[in-house]
Amino acid sequence: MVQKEIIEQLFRRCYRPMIHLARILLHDDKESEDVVSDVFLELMNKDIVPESDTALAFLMTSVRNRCLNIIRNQNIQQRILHLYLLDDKLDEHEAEEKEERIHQIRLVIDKKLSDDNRRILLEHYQEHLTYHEIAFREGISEVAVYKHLKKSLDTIKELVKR
Amino acid sequence: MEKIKQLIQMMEHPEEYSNDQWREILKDKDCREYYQLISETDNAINDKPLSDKDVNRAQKDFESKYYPSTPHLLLLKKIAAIFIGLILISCIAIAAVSIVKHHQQTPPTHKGIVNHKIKDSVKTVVMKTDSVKRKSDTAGEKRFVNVSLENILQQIAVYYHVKVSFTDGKATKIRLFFNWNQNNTLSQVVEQLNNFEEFHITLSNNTLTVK
Repeated sequence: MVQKEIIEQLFRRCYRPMIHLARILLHDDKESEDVVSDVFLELMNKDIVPESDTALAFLMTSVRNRCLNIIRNQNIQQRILHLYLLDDKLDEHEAEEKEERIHQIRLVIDKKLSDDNRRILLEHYQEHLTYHEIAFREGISEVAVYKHLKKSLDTIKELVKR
Repeated sequence: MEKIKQLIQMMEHPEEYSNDQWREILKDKDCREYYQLISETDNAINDKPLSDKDVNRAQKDFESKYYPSTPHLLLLKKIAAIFIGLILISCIAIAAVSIVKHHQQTPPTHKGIVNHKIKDSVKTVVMKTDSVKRKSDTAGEKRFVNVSLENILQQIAVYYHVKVSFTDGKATKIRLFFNWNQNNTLSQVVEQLNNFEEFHITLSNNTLTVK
């Protein structure tokens, strides 16, 4: 069993990037925390620990593989429900590529969207309000809500390189 | 563009569409890309960096969940448990003694009492049933509770180095409540005892005689 001090050290050093990767793939904080805990638990029960310079890579690979296994075990409807990756994107490099695109999307949202479009986009994806709820709050029609969201997504699609 | 519109509408309620319907719409390359765009937009909006506090909390949660207590802490816990156990036993013992004392101090009011007289601060109670003798609570004082006169005088005689003689056999059976102050002289004790009406004690030639 790996010593507690070593696990503590790795936890402090690697938890942030590990949880970040799990969240990107699973879109769920609690499930991401469970995955990262499971990886540390597995490491704790091993007899040897990866070398210090390769430990992070080892742990990240473990997190990614666990997340991809979770996704593979879901049918397509459940994947859409959780915004999981589709089959053609289930490879080990996808997570790293997503990282860069997500950064660019964040920049576009912050700097390129109009205030109205950004606010409605956040209401929908951050507060998880329905079209109906946003329409009521903003005093506009549901069609107008759709048009705002579509405009935001189109802008992001146009500006973020793939 | 119609397919994209349909995809966006379907994504409002994914659970309302079958796996086949999802496969059908996602056959389209543009739809797949748009789905991925929505998924990554969700990432960009909701992924927030963790604070040091979040990491510490996660680490503590993990350790409390998967690490057993350290031997040092385990020992302290055991000592604490033993200490608490001893305190509990002590409390139970004290409570038991208090209950017994309280029970003994309760004036006998049952039908076994045939005579109950109070003269000054001294009580005489004659009972058919046996009872318990209790030692005094304070130094130099001995309290007899429902103890036979014979028994009381024998103890007094031993203490003052005198003898006891009963000329009245019935008097030996009389049971008393009596506080014996051992700092008093024998004469004072005899005087106190003679406050009882049922018997009379005299002291002569180092002998207590009960009449």
